[in-house]
Amino acid sequence: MNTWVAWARGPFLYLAFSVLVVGAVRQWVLAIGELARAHRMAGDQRVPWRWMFKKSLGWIVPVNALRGTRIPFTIASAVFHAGMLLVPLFLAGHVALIEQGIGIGWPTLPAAAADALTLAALAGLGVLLLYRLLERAARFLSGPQDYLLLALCITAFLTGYLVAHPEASPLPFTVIYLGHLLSAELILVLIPFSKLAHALLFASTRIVWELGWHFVPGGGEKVRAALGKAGEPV
Amino acid sequence: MIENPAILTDVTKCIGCEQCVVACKKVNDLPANDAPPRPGSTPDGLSADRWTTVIREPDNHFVRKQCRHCLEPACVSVCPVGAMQKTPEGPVIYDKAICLGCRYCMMACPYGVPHYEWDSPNPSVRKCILCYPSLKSGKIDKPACVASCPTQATIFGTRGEMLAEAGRRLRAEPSKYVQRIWGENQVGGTSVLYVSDISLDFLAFGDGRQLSAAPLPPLTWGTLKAVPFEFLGMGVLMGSLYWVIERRRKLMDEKAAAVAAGEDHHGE
Amino acid sequence: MENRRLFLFKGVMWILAGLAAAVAIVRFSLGLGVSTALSDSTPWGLWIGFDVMGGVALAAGGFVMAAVVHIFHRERYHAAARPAILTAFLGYGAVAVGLLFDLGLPWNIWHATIYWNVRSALFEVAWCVMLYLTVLALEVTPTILERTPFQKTYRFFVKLALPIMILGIMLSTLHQSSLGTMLLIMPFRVHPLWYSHLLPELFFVSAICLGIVMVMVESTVTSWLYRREPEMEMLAGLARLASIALACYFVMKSADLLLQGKLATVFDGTWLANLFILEMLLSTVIPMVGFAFPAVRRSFRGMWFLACCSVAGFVLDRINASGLSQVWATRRFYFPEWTEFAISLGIVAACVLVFFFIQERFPVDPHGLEAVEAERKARATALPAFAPFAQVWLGEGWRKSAKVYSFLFVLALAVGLTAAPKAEPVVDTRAVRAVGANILRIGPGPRYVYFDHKKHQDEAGGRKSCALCHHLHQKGDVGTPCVVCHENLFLPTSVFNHDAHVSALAGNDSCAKCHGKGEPIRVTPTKKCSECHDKDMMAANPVVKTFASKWAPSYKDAMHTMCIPCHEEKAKDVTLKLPNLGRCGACHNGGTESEKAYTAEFPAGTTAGARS
Repeated sequence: MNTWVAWARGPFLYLAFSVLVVGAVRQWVLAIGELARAHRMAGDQRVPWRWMFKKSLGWIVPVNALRGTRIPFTIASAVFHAGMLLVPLFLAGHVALIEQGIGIGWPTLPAAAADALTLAALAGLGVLLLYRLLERAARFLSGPQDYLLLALCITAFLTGYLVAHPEASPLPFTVIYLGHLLSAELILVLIPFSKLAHALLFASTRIVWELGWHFVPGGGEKVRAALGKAGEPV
Repeated sequence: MIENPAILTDVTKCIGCEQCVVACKKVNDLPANDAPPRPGSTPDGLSADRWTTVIREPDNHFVRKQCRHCLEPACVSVCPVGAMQKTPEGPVIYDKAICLGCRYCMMACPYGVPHYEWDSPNPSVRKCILCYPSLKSGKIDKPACVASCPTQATIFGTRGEMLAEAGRRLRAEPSKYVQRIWGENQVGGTSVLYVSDISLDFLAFGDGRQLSAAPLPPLTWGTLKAVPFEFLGMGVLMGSLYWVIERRRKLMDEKAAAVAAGEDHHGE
Repeated sequence: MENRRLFLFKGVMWILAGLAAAVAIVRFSLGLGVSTALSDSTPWGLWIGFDVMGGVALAAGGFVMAAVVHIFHRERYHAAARPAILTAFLGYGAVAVGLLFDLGLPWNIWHATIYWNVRSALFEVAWCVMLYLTVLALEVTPTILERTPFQKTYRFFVKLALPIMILGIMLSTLHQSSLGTMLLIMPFRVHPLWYSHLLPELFFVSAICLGIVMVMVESTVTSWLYRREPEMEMLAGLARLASIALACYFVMKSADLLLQGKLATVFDGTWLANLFILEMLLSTVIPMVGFAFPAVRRSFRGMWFLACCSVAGFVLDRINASGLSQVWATRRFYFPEWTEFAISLGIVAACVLVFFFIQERFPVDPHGLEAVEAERKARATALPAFAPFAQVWLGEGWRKSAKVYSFLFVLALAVGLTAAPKAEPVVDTRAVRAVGANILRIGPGPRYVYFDHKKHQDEAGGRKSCALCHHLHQKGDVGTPCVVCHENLFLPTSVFNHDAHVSALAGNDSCAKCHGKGEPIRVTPTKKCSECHDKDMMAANPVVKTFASKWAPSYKDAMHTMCIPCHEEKAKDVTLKLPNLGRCGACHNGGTESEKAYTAEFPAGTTAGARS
């Protein structure tokens, strides 16, 4: 078990960060290339930058969505994302590890705050999972990937909490610790290659959405031709 | 500085104290802590940080190894850019500013003397330079290793003097020494000479079996000399071959055309 | 329709390129030591043997085919000329890139243009490769321009072709042979079976052979990958040519060995001799005989196999001559690190990818190009494809390829970065060189402790205390290991403070903490220091590399400055009756004749006499 922990703390951690960094660069390069192409081919080449910026900000701080129809979902999502950003980056233990590794450190969260955020994020994750299972539209759109990613996040937070509070743990410490390392590293590895890529691409989501509607002139005809339905009415 | 400086090392007098190593490190500003030898290197103690060393042979024989400063150095001959240089006075020195890092000098040295700074991303070739800058400026009158030797096992002078001294010692105590001066004419002669009571062939690769008195650089120069002629010769050969073949083709085409025309004519 | 074979092959190439990119980062940031197994005894390794020596020879197809088609007018081989010249261009590019990896100071590579040493074979090779690379670029230009609107320029280059081709052949003759010339200066390194004064000529002839068989390999592999009809007639012709060329090489090599009187060495059974036999069988004998049979020349697989065999044999020859055979002289074995293989393979993979890229866009092989274009047209109307897990739209055509291949590339890059060696803190300081704050290696494993020499010296009683540690010096040992002092904690030389430990561990109850319960308390401890003081030990880490001191007195220095004054003083003490104690021979009294001569003045009964 200890060799597994050593492996997860050493080579696999290095691999996870390597994959994250080079994968992120790949995603950005591809995103910029594709966006440039979409813009070049668009019939209407105007881009409403100000409006897009405001809209993006609105999604990041979902105050307006609180007046929407799925208020519990919005809150759960916001709480979970706050925990997901703050805890991994500002937990004292993580910062110490990073400082040991690359020599740069930064201020940390107090332990109590980290605990609270973790529990809140777990609760948020629970609500998100329930939404996915219970709401018809969400269930219809969900693939195995969505459940897997949710399960991974839940594992990472749960084991993380137990690592910080070993007295509450039903399992031996090394098992929990290994589970935490592996689930967290798997998340890092998956970020550039799964739906988690929205962590890297959130800045360009809005512009993709915007450019997406600016069809190539005659684009619809091509789609129909590709589907073998040329000439048929839409 | 004297012309043709040379070092004569008498293996029978060396007590292996390594004062020469310390003096060398001081004068050349080398780190005291040698990196451990790279796996796969000849374990003679030489390294990029240790330009002279004392090899411990059985029965308390101590053999100091350093650059031999050959009279016709292979390392100087092979360096494509001339970063290894034979100074007019004699010592072989190295200029990092010119070097490419091809390490051909290390391949060409029959004694395995030049060493590389393997652990640096900006490496240079390091070896004994016979304290050339300090000797040249007159800061010291003999190399640091010689000056520090407590038993005069290693002495300094012109190559003529050193050969004479070596000969004198061999004659004076013929039973003590192997009757041979190492470096007198091996690979065309070296500036670092040895007299010894054991064979010193192990200082060269392959136990020195492949080393003759002939210097190494002419081995390649013999071929390289011919390069311009080879180049032009190949050009002339290819050009004329092309001309001959093209002409033959043309003639054959004409002939074929003539035959065809003749047949046509006949047919009419 | 998708060509799965080609797709997979390209994927593998991208993975290799990704691995090489990772190693490249390590190579250029940390140096050759970390990324190779090279050493001072083996300064040239795989990168010279395969990438440079092998690479130049593998690219010989360019000048051979140029001569066959454009000088000798064998129109049958016309289809092979353009691919061969393109391969040569990329091959020489690969040699240049490989050289950048191998050179210690690659940013100085241009120095060869301004600092001249005409006596160096490498200088000549460098110039020829530079010029030939330019010539090859000019030879490739018509291929690129043929189907572009720049028809005037295209016609100009076509007119220029003949003199350029001849110049290329002239340059190739020179540097193919000069690679052999480079080894001439090392008769002491190169094994007699490979060393010969005919090395330049042998290298030239073998390059011609390798050029022909390499064109065969390339043609067969391309037709297999693109599922095209192989050009059997051309291949059979090349096989016949190869057979003749190989026979010439075989005769030359045998005659050379015979004239040098080395024929017996071939069969002396040493592993190098066997390697030589293997190399000759692979490169020359088997293909030469095989190609002579018409049945083989009618078989696609047969020709492919024999050509591959010959290519492998000749690459082995270059590796043997420039490195492997020298094990004989250096007596040090060298086997490349995986990182070296990664770079070599990665460069080849990158070349292959560029070759495909050009081949699929420019008329290198017009028939092939048509097939590729038809396939591209068919793909443009295919249904959209999605990535299996991420469910991302992949796009069509080359954009799909870009997404898939970049995925493989970055994955290989990340794996390579993880597996690549990191900066290794190589410190193996012996006690003898320790001064100031320093680091000592303890035990056989890679464990280090900070060793504060000054502190030790101060605690032991200042400058005169050296003997406390250093006088324990044993024969053949340059320093005294820590254990000599720290093993028995009650020796007077020990730095262990028993009282301090007792009080720190709270009184007499503490005995059992080190000495064990119910056991008789011995002088030697039952517990190792490291069991409690583990935090003082450290595994190798980057910190270990820093040294405060610039240089340290050697052990001898310590002995001499410290022992001699005392010895001289004691020698003057008449009550001791040791008048010779101050002489060198009192300590340096080995048993050989030379040393006895040196210490002859010591009569028996003195310290020197008593000790010997």
